Amino acid sequence: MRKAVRFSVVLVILAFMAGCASMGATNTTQTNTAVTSFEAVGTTLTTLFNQEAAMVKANQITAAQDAQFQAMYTQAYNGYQALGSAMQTAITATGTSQTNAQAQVTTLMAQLPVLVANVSNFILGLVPAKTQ
Amino acid sequence: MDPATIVLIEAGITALEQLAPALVNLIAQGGLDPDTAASYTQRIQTAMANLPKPSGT
Repeated sequence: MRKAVRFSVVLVILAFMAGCASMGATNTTQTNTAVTSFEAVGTTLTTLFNQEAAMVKANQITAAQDAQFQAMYTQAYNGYQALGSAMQTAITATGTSQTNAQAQVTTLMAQLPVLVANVSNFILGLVPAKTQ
Repeated sequence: MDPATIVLIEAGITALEQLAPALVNLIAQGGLDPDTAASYTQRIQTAMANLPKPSGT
């Protein structure tokens, strides 16, 4: 698990550095920044999901806590999928469709950080209580 | 909490901060060549597919 987490960290940091390096350049690299950041958020959510699953397997959390996590994760999952769909439309569509996608992306992008923070805060709050 | 996990979470939050302004540019631009657009949409689809599904779904 630790090796897997560290490997994931390396991947995210490399992806993030690539995204930073492309900021302020051409339109194509701006889009690359958006896609790279989107991938990094997915990696973070995946690691949080896997960590919680390991805790469930080790009986380190209660069924109620697991249910609470799954509810939060489901919201983040759905938000991530919706944002990904809207991003694809924004990349490929033109005219009115792209304008509509802009409204969707704006709305979803305002929601996703809160949903991801809920998941990460839950995990961050759980683990110290179990390791004391 | 494994310090590496905390670093990962922080990286994810930072990525979210990067995502918002990058998406604004993405929306505003349009006109990506078809191959580039296809490459990006494929990466997005892969990221969406790789995200673990919630339990019970």
